[in-house]
Amino acid sequence: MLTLQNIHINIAEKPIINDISLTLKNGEIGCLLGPSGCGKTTLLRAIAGFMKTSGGEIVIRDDIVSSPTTHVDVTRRQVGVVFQDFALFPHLTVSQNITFGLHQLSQPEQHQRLEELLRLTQLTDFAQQYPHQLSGGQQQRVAIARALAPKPDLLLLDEPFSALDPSLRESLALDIKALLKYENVTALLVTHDQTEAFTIADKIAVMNQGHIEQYASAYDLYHEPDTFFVANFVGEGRFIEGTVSMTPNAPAYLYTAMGEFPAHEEAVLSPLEKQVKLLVRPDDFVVDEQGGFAVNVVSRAFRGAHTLYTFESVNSHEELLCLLPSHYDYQVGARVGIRLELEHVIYF
Amino acid sequence: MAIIISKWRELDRWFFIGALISVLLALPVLAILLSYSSLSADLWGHLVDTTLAEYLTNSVLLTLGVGFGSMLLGVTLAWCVTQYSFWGRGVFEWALLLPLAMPAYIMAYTYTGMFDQFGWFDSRSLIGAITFMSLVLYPYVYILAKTAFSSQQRTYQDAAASLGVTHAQYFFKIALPIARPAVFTGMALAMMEALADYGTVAYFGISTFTTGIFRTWFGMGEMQLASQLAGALALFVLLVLSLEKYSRKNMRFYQTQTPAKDNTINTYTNTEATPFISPLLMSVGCFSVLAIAFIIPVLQLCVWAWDYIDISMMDEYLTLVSNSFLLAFSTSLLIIVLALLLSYAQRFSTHPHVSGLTQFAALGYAIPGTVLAIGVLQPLGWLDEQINVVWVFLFDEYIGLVFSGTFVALIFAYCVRFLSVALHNTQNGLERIKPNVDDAVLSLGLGRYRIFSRIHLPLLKKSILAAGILVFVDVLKELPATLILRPFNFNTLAVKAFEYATDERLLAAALPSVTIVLVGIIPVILLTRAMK
Repeated sequence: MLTLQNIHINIAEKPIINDISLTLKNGEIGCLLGPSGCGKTTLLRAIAGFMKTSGGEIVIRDDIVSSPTTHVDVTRRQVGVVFQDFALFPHLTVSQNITFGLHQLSQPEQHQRLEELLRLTQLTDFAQQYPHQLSGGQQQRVAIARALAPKPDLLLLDEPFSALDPSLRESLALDIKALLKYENVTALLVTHDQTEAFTIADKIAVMNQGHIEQYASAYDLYHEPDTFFVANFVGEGRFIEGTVSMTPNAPAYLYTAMGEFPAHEEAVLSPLEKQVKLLVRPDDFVVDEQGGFAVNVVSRAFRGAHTLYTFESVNSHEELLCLLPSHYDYQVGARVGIRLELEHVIYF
Repeated sequence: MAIIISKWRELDRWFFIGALISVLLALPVLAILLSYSSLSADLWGHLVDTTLAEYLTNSVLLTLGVGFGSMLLGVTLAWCVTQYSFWGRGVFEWALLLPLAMPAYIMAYTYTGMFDQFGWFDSRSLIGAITFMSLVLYPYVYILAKTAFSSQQRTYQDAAASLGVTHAQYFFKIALPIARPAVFTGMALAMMEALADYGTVAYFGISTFTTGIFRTWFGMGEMQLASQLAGALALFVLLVLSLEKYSRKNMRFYQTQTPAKDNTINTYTNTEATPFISPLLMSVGCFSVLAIAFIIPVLQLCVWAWDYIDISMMDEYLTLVSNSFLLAFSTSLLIIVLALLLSYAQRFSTHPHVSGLTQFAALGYAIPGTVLAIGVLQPLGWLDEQINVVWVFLFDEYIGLVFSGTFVALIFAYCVRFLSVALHNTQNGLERIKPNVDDAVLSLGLGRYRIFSRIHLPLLKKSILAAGILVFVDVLKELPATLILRPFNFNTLAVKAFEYATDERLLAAALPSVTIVLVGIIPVILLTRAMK
């Protein structure tokens, strides 16, 4: 449905987007995740047609909408956009906002589509209200209904949850995912919040400084990050120093202060060693008072079912984040024995 | 005695002062109302049979015409200037406010004189009056619409575009409806000025309420009927005002949504709106309006003034300038004091009605000068009569007019009309000083007077100066009230310019006129500074 091929975007001679390629299949929900200033909103605006690309092609359906030689105007792209501040027209009611983009349809058709969207977004009771009379979550649903009304093949959402109360975001994100799946619309979302991305998206492109670091599912990003940036940016975790030792005709091993682990390396012809950093997630630990490695409790944050500990390893002085069931109750300064249980050995 | 003092202390002194000023300033309106206590069926019957219909149609047509004309000009110019980039935009943005410096009556006789000179056509008509007034009053709409357009969220445009709406459709469906309250306010201001105008319609010989009031008062000598006509005119102004209030009532929320904090603002400004008018046409259009409404008449006035200047008349001119400036200056001082007192009443008094009171006192700006003059003359004339009765009884001689026909009456009228201009500035200035500051000073052991002299006065200096300049220029331009209330043989720039023009001595009118226009530029400059 959407294909980006080697997209480049310069603003005032400065490259903002650098060689980005990505595809979204029909009905998929994609996400551009990255820190602010990474170019994700610029890319979204280029796909919507608000700005021109400097190189590469954007293909929506089977039509080239942006290329060095063509630029289909935003008004003719038939792409729905949900804005960060919702951009609801303040002088129009909820109904008038939703039907705003339906000017080509006949009155009965408009009405039918309106009723359907009001029902889907649970806004039927608010149809005659003005945007300022609604809560933030309701405003967001109006914005999405308005963008979906003309049945666009592609829906773009720019930080759709950033204007909302953080405690509501996750449940709203699930509602919206259900809505998008019901409408079977292909969607691309921009966010800097990974929880949002994980909740709503099928595939996530982690962006950094104008290029894509990794384009994969949430599970893969968390457990099998391709780059150091992704490993660091997605999820919580710490890195510990390690040495990979490779010998011909034998499996490679990774040696750290917290034990040794099998390493995935190509076969080598002569022995080789290299210094690496091993990714350790907070859920990679088990308590082992007898056989474990000694760590000191630096700080603790109670989170209900779990407690997040910051440990310092006694022999290597490396900092570790560790999530333990909260019935383990260690005070700051206490010495604990822990062991690493790695399902995925990720190092860079 | 002690009881009286303690009672005085208990009394909300600030409320008392505020109430006193407000009641005093309301006297002219009350006088107009009182004039309705006896209606003469004969006189009104005569009026209805003869000229009332004409007054009514002309005033209504003039008001609606000017409202529409200034909306058309103001909105179009504001839209171009806020949305597109074209040659000279940065200059036009503020220069388009300059016509505000041009009083409509000066505009009218300058162009009429020019047309007569070249023998083109006669602009002495209702259409002519509407055109000239719209040309000098559109800046009211322009400045408010400009603010409204530029404060609209950029994302509205993007949202509309993504829903397949072109830029032209966006203007009519989104931008204009959202800016409607601001446009209406600007139109209401222009329409009130049009209703209040005396100079233009008198010069063109158009019968409206204002010229009718003059004719009834001075021509027919029917003071009460003139008052009653003035009351009718005031009613029209009230109608315009309440229409404006009503139109805003349901739309207060329009601009209250604060735009979301946006760290990607650079990418937003990247989208250039595609204009539906060519940029060249916009430059030409803006320049034409500016030329017609300001540059050409000012140049013409300068040429005439230059032709006319000779030493013999410089004496007269200098007297006019000193008269006008002195009058305007002393009025400004008095009005600033009143405005400060009212602002402080609002700050310090805890009385529930105190803000209503100050709003009431500020209503005077809506009363046309003609109406005001008559409202002032009646109570003061009555007072003079009573004083003379007493004086004759005591000393057996007449002392003549004490209030009416003197500067007291004139300055009183100015106070009623222009207080709101100053009050607006002093109130805003004072509101910016948080009450915490006062508490801080008091907690440091300094007295209330020190709060004013050491904290407020330095902070208010700019607001006070702005208020003073605005009032000064308004007094300088004011025509009808000055014409009626000025002391015998006392002339101002505005009065003399108008008299010369009515006598078709346009060359003589040019020098005082150009002086008024040039001084009038000062507040326009202040306004452009405030916009940035």
